[in-house]
Formats: sequence, C-alpha cells, structure tokens
Amino acid sequence: MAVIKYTEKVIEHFKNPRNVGEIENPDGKATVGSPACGDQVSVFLNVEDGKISDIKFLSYGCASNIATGSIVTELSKGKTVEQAKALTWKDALEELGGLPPVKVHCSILAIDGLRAAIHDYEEKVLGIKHERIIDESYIIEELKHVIYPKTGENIIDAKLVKYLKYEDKEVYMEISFDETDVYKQNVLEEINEHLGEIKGVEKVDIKVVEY
Amino acid sequence: MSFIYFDNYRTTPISDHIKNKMKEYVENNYFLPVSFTSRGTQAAENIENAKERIMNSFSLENGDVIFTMGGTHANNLVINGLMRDADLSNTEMITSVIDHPSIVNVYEHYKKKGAKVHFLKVDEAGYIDEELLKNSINENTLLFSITLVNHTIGTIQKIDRLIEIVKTHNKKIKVLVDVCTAANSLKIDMNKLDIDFLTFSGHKIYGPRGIGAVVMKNKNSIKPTIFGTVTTSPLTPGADNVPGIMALADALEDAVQKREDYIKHTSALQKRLMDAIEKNIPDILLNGPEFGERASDNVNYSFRFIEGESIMMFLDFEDIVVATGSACASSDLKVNYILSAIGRDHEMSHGSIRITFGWDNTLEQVDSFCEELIPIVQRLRSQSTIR
Repeated sequence: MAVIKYTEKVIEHFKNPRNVGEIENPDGKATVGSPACGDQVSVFLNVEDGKISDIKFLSYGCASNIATGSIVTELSKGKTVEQAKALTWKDALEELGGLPPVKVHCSILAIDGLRAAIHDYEEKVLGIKHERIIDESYIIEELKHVIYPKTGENIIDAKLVKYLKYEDKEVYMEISFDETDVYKQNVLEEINEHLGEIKGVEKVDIKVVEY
Repeated sequence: MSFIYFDNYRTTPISDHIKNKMKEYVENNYFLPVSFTSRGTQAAENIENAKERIMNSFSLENGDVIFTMGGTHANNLVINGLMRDADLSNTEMITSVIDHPSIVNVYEHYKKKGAKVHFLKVDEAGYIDEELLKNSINENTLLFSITLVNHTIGTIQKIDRLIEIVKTHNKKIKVLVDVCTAANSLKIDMNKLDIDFLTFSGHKIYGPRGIGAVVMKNKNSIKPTIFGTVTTSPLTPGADNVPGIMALADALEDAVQKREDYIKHTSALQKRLMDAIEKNIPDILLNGPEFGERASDNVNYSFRFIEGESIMMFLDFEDIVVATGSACASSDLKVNYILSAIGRDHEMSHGSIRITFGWDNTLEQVDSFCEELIPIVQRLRSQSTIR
C-alpha cells in the first residue's frame, strides 16, 4: 500500500471543524451525497447585503469529508455570493495542503454542497430559476465531478471515458479500466450516483472495457 | 495514555519467547539443507522436526507440511495446485461468500477462467447454510474451502458438520480449512476431522512474520505452481526460511499449550467490552454471533449514523489501534463484502469497528478504550447529517 496520510491541516480541521451545526430557517440549504454512497454533506447559509453572513455544515463521512466541509465554510464565510460561487474544489484542496488522490472526491462533495445551498438561496429568496438544457456537454460536466481515486483527477481528464452518447434520455458510455484496477466498482457507483440525479436522464448504460 | 493495540487479527506482536528463539535461530541456524554435510543435514533435520511438531499440534499422525510465506500464499498454493491440471469446464469449487480474500479472490480468478464457482450465502450471524452446501455439491465438485473463524465478524463455522456433508457426498472432494484467525482460540483435530489441507500463519500466533504453512493429510496431493531449485518440497522451491520454520513450530506449540488460558483471558475482555458498549451506546448493531458463540477474541459493532474511518482516526489520536469496515478507509473504496453479506447496508457497514484482542490486552485497557470511544461516537453523531 502506498503511504496514504492526511496533511496536518486536514487533521486539524477534522479534529476541530469550524462552523459545524445547523441554521434554523436558513436562506439557503442543501444536502448532497448519500449515506449509501458513504458520504453526505449538508450546508446551511444566510445572506446579508449580498454576502454570506453565516454558514454551517453537517457531515456524515470520513476525516477528509469533515475537513473539507470545515474549510469550504471557512473560505466562503463573509464572501459575496458571486465569490463563493466561484470557489472550486481545487481551492479547497489547496487550502488544506492537498488530499490523497483516493480522497479528492470528498472536496468535490463539499463544494457541491456549497453551490447547491447558494442555488437554493437564489431560487427561494431571489426567485431566480435555474434551467439548463440537458445535453452531452452537461453530462460531461457532471462526469467531471466523478474522481478517479487512483490519480485524484476527474474521469474525463483521466481519459477513462472512451465514448459517450446522450439520446432519448439515455446515456450510453464506454469506460476502460486495467484488469487489476481496484477502483472500477467505486467509479461505476459514482457515475450512476451522479447521472442518476439528473432529471433528464432515465437510463444509464455503461460498457466496461478491461484491458 | 499508553498504547492500546486492539487489532490482533491484523497481526499479533511477536512473543518474547519466540523473539528469543528467533534470535538464536537466526544466529545459529541460518544454514540451508544440503545433503552429506553436518550443518546442511542439521538444517534438514530441523525442518523435519518442525513438521513433526506442527502435525502433532493438529493431531495429525501421517501427512506433510509445506512451508509458505504466510496464509495467503498457503491458500493460493493449495487452490492453484489442485486446479493446475483440472478441466475447468467440468470443475466446480465451493466456498462461502464471506471467506478470506486469499480464497475468494482465487476462486474469482477461476470463475473468470470458466470453472463453476459457488459462493455460499450465509445467515445474519455469518453461518453457512448446510442445505445450500448440500445442494451445491455434485460429481464435478473438486474443492470445498472454508475459513474456520471469520476474520471480520468472528463467526466460527461448524466445520465438523460441513466437512461431514461434503465427505459423505463424495470422499474425493478436497477440503481446505484456513485456521489463520482460529489457531489461538480453537482446538483443531485433524485426526477427527477429515481435512485435506489446513493453512495457518506465524504472524497471527505471536510468531515470526513471512512464514506460514499448509498441513496436508496426503503427500503429493497438489501440483507445483512455482518452479525453481527444489530442496525441501517441489511445491516451494527456493531457499528455505529455516529460522522462520523452526520458530513457526515453536509459536504453534505455544498457542496449543496456552489455548485454555487464552480463551479465558480474551473472553473476559470480550465480555467487559460488549457489556460496556451495549450499556452505554445506543443505535449499535453487533456484527457476527452473540457472546459465547463467536470467537473469544473478536468484537465487531456498527455505530449507526457515523463513519468508521473517523472513529478509527479519533481513537488513533489517543494511541488506540482498531480496524474498520468502512469503505472510506479501505484501499479500494469498496463496501466491506462480509458486512454486506450478513445484511448490513452501506451506512451500517461504514460505521463498523472491529476490536480484536490478544495476550497483551487487559481489562483496564478495555475500560480506557470505552472512556475514549463513547464521547467520540457522541461527538461524531452530533455533527452528522443523519441521526
């Protein structure tokens, strides 16, 4: 086994997470991930004068899940909504001094939680409707949220996805793995979880090519 | 707080007795078996003597012992050796769905190659269903492999019944029993049980690392799958680990001799811990059989609504070592297959913690452990999305 360990900063945030808890009647809230998939984050936030005045989170997950929840709330507190929306999982990762590749997906979940809570605020409080056409590029964007645990890259950049088609609410994709790849099952579960949440997707058909 | 090691199923420390023996053997018995030389024949005799002592420890009068690099190597050597010349399209093999990866993963390999492989389902406590076993045996069955004590949930398979079923149906079916996690706490009598191959490992019985063995009833009953210079056995060519072999026999003899005390010692720890957890922590699930039924040195609970890597790490900060079945902490991010097989959903298995006891543990350690564990569970639950 390669040496897999957390940075001191991750450990510190895991031990003493900032902004843990709930906000009653928040301006925006969201829960992303699922216990069945091993991790879940809830984000609650209030907005005053266009800035995130208060933010809290809850986490069901491992140390990196808790630490990224903590760092993301810390990074976004006091920021304008636009600044908070622009935060990426790479910012969170950088702030934590990095995560082992196998744990990178946790940082994505925390950022997804923040964005979804802002999204909820915009819909609920500002009355902004978010509608986006579901097409192949949308599917690819969503697949960029699936991380290949071996390298810590998303599966698109890691070039695991060899073919993708979206037609009649069905996704067909081909994905390739080395025969001995231990992360195959994890990646397939993550793909199904992410694509399963998209309203315009009714069926996901994945062909696995082993080499 | 002083170091608490509750992960004895992963590996045990080496005992002082074996440490001293190893030092002596490494210094004085590094010679390899060579015929017609005094030191070379002494090495060969030491190996033969170790074989005798190991067979005696399992009440086997006639047979053979093959030394391997450990339990995984031993199971591979047996299964691959039996399968080497088999006609895969007419070969069936049986094990349980919760068996050790050194059996299950080898079976998966042969499944891919075309053999018919039965992974028998187990009940909620981890026991193999005897009817399922009966129904999976037929004239093509070559091998039944079973781990005596499950390494995760401490289920002790009723091997006397299972072996009887297999051998009654067809005496020719080979039986492999892995006793790596059983050798400390269970008496295994190969004179009474019709076991063809028994495997165990040094590092789980306070012995040396990197050495294990296959104890077999009949010589020459498997084919070689690795090749090289043959000295002691054609199944394991290459230089013999003479000091390791000698110390392995010592460690096994120690385990047999101290077994009754070991059971008393570990079951007292087990009772204290299980009582404390059941009394003080709500929303828990015991994984594996009840107290009295399970292996005396194994405890495994799922703590609902929280994740095991977090629990394990908070304990680690206090210098307490346990294991978890959480997918987050596993090297392949997969949900623990054993907990899934006994009906635990993902959330239940993520929050699982395995505590495995050994000689060095004390009741005071169990008390200190609980003092740390209870607030850790409370704290993680207070910040969880689910409750």
